[in-house]
Order: sequence, then structure tokens, then C-alpha cells
Amino acid sequence: MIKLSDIRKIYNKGKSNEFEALKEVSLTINDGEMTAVIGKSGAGKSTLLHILACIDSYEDGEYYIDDMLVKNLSEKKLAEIRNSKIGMVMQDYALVDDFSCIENVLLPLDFAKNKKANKTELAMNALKSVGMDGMAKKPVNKLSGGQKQRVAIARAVVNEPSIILADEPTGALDSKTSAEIMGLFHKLNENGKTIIIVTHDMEIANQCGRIIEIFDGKIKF
Amino acid sequence: MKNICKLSLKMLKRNKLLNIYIIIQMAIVFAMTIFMVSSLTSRYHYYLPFKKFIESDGYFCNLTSATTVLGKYVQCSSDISEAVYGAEESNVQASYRVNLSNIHEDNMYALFSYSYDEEIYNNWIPDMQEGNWLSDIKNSGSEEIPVVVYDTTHSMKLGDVLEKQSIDYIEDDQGNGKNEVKKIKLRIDGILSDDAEIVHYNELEYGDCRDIFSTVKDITEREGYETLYLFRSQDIHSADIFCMSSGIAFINTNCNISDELKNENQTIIIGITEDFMELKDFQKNSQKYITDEIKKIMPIFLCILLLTIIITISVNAITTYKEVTNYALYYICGLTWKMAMLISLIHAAFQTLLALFTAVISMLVCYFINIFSNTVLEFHPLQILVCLAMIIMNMIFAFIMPYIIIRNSTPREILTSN
Repeated sequence: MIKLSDIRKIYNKGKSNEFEALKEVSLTINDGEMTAVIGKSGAGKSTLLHILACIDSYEDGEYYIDDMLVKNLSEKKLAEIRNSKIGMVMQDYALVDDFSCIENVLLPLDFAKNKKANKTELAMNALKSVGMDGMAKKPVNKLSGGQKQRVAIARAVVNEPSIILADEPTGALDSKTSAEIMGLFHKLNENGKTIIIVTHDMEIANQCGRIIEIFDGKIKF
Repeated sequence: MKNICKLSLKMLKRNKLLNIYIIIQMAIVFAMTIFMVSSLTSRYHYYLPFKKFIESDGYFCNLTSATTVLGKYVQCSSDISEAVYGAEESNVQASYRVNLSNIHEDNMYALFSYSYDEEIYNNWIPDMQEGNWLSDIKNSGSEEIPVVVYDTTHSMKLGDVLEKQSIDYIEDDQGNGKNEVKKIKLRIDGILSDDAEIVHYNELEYGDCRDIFSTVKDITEREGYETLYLFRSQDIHSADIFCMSSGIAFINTNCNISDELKNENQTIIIGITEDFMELKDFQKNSQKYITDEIKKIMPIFLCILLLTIIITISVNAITTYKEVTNYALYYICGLTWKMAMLISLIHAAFQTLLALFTAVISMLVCYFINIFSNTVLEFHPLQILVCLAMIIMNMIFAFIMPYIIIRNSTPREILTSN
């Protein structure tokens, strides 16, 4: 379960261009929910997602993952959470361009605290689940946008995290490919994963069980 | 850790062209640094072997074969130490002309042969064409005297045994003198190369450490001999062969002796030879020569140092800027920044070692095909130490650079900015 309580995020704190991106945001997302976070550009939705992914800090408030207070965690523990509890999918795929598909998918397995013996098999299974097992050895810079996003999803799920966070996952894709990618997210959600998708596309948002709108750094009720 | 090394290696493979460019650039810097350090240390080349003697009190002398002390010829260091105040036998080191001859068809030809006291042959090892220098000869207990030769005819071979003659003038009870010829067997244990420099006095040309040495080629040409024979003094004494001081002598005296005794020593030395210098002046001149030489190359040295620092920083900056997005991706996948910096560090270590390897191999190849025949190239502990310092500097920058770049940014900012 994810629980945020009065989270505040300020950029350029103390400088002339100080900007409060999130203003006392509180929300709870239960396990297995599929949630869309919507809002205009600059509303703070990506900031919220990055805080949830433990790749950005916050000034005030409390953030719990499975009853664990994130603020008190060490850098090492945070890395462990990013590795084992959270899978991240970005609009621009965030793949290592010169690596092959399988090399990209292997990364979370390589960084895992508990090393698994059958890493290649697990990576191949993850690629298979997104229909990319046939291109495992192909460098990702030779793939189409849709294929890259599939590889990104395979990488996000390979360690079997309970939460998948997606930042505009269909933003760079055509409608047909977007539908295929959303299909994959639905499948993951059906398998019990908590999915949080940041989007400004209402068509995508409407496919999620819950929609949270952010406006000027606050959740709009 | 294994995965971190794997990712570092992948970094090397991934940016092949950039890495090759960086490795070549660093190899050139390594080579320039090794040459520069060799060039700097070579200035001490003539000074360091006899530093202990040069930096002590006493005299640097040229003794002629006819030198007598207390009425007799100087045959060993104790002959001098007994005459000079505050000089111990071990603090007098000299070279001697050895009285050996070659008798051919009833004609007797003097051999061009010298012997050295222990500290002289131990502290200076000339270039050998083959075999051992005097300091490396093992006493076999055989009756053959080990000798190192320089042979302009190139007819002598290692292991050859030569039969020569030693001539002693002896007087009987009635005071009648006669020459006694003794057969001496010499075993060639080493052959000097053509460009070998040996301890051999010519004249006080510079008044500094350069005067200690001459090349064997020059010596034999000047003196008109085909072959030069070099011995250890103790072998000559053991075989009871007559010798006389000839050439260089370091006479170190106790620094605590009174001015009065110093003046007396001066008088004694003048009585032995007119061709001498006080070691403190000899040292002063030597230091001045070295300092002047270093001053000449210092601007180039500083430029190379600056270039090394600039290249190290720029190489690491380029690599880090190229890789920082990937570090952020690794971060998202569960790596800490510290581990990302470790990837950068290991990658830099691979790069640096490859560059050093390339530099050393290239230099050796160039050296052996004689491209650098007029350039000093040496591999001594100092060169290794300087290379090690460069490697450490590169590693420090490789570790710090990602830190500087990511210090004020979150992975989110890095990913969005790229």
C-alpha cells in the first residue's frame, strides 16, 4: 500500500525562482489498484510519480510504502526498494541505448540484493510476457518506439515488483501501439500489480479504475 | 561487484571509438611523461653513482702512473689513506693501470688494462654487449683472472682464456735488478658494448661529475689501443700483479679534522698530483650543471604536467557526461550513486591501464627499432612511481567527476535534461 501525507515539494528552495510543485498532497493507493494521475503540464504529476519512485526527495510530509517510512531510509535501502518493490516505465523508455533488449532487462536482476541463479531465464520470461523474446539480442536503438516501451515494461517487471509506475508511457506512441501497451498494463494489473500511470490523455486515464487529478500542486477532489 | 566490473567493461566496449581516442590520448601523455622523467633523471646519471663520495669532504684527483706517496708507487687505496689525515682505506677509491703484457715474436707489448677498487666497479655498471660486468662476476676459485674487455676487433669471445704476461722488476741480495716474467691466464667474463661509458679520467674538462666518465670507444681511439682490459683490484692483488694508480681517485676525509690538518692534507695532495679538486667544489659544480640542465627542460616539463592534468580532467568529464544518463538509469533500476561512481572508477582504471600498456609497448617498439636513439628512455622506479601518480590522479577524477555532475541533480533531473 502507498500512503502519502501532506507531501510538499519545493524546487530551487531559497532561490529567487523557488517553486512549490506539490502542496500538502495526501493520498492512499491500495494494493492492486490501477490509478491514473492526470493534470496539465507543470501541475506536479510527474513530480509526484518521481517521489513515489524514490528518485526524488520532498521537503515535508510523510511517504509510506507498505508501512515503511521512506524519509528515514538509507540510500542503500532506497536503492533496494527501487530494485525490488517498484518498476518504472518512462515516456522516453529510459533504456540503455547500446545494450541489447536482454541486457537492459537484466539490469534490475544484476543490481538485486538477493542474486538469482537463473537471471537469463527470468529476463527471457519477462521479454516473453511483452512479446519481445524474439528480439532479445537486438540492440534497443534498432527498435521501434512501441518495441522499446515493451522492453521497458519487461525491465520494470522482471524483479516482480508490486508497484509499476509509468510516466506518460504512451506519450510517444501511436494509438494502435498505445492500446497494445495499455493492454500489457491491464494484464499486469490483473496479475495483482499496483499500477500508477501519469498521463494527460483522458482516453488512457479512463481505462484506469481510479483517476487522481492534480491542479497547481494539489489533488483536486 | 562482478556486475559492476561487467558494466564497466561494457562501457569500454560500447563507446569503442571514443575509448580508443581517449586511450591513445592518455598513452601519448604517459609516453611524454616517461620521456620527461627519464630526461630529468638522466641529468643525475653521472652524479648519483658516486654521490656518497662527491658529497663528502676530500679530494677528487687524477693520479698518474708515476704517482708516489711516501716514496713508493700507489698500488692500493691504503697507500693513499696512510698518507692523508682522516682518510680511511675504504674511503679512498681509485683506478689503477695494471702491468700486463703480451709477448709476440720476442716483442713485448703493454696491454691497455685497468683495475678498479670495489666501490667504483660496484657503483657504475656500463652497457655490456654480453657477459657480466665486474660487480656480477662470481669468484670461481680458478687460477684464471676474470676480465671485462672492450675489443675493437670484435675477435674476442665470452669465455675465451687469454695467456698474457706480468713483468716484475726484482732485485737480488746483491742489488742486481732483473725482469721476471710471469704467465697470467685471463678469462673473458664480459664484453663491453661500443657505446659503453666507463669510469676513466681524461682531464678536468668541466670540473664536475661528467669528468668521471669516458666512452670506451673514445678512450681506445685516443690511446691507440685495439683492446681495453678491466679488472677488479682484489683479483690483481691476489695474483700479485704489479699495478700503479692511474686515473680517478676519490679521497674522502673525515669531516671533523681540524683546519690545520686540512691544510696539511692539501699540501700532501699537491705533492701527489697537481690535477685535483676539493670535493666540495666538485659537488658545487656538479649541482650547478644538473640545475642548469633541469632549468632548460623545466618549461617543457611544466607544460607536460599541465597537459596531463587538463587531459585527465577533460577525459573524465567527457566520459562522465556521456555516461551520466546511464548512471541515472542504473539508479532507477536499483543502483546507488556510490556504485555508479564505482563503475566510472573501474572504467577509468581499465582505460588507464590500457593506455599505460599501449604507451610502454609503443615506446619499447620505437626504442628497439632505434627511433629514439638520441632520446633518453629509462624504466626506473621513479618512472613507475610517476605513472602510478598519474593513474591515481585519473582514478580520483574518475570518482569525483560523476559526483560533481550529479551532486546538485537528482536522477529525475538528469533523465529529463537528457
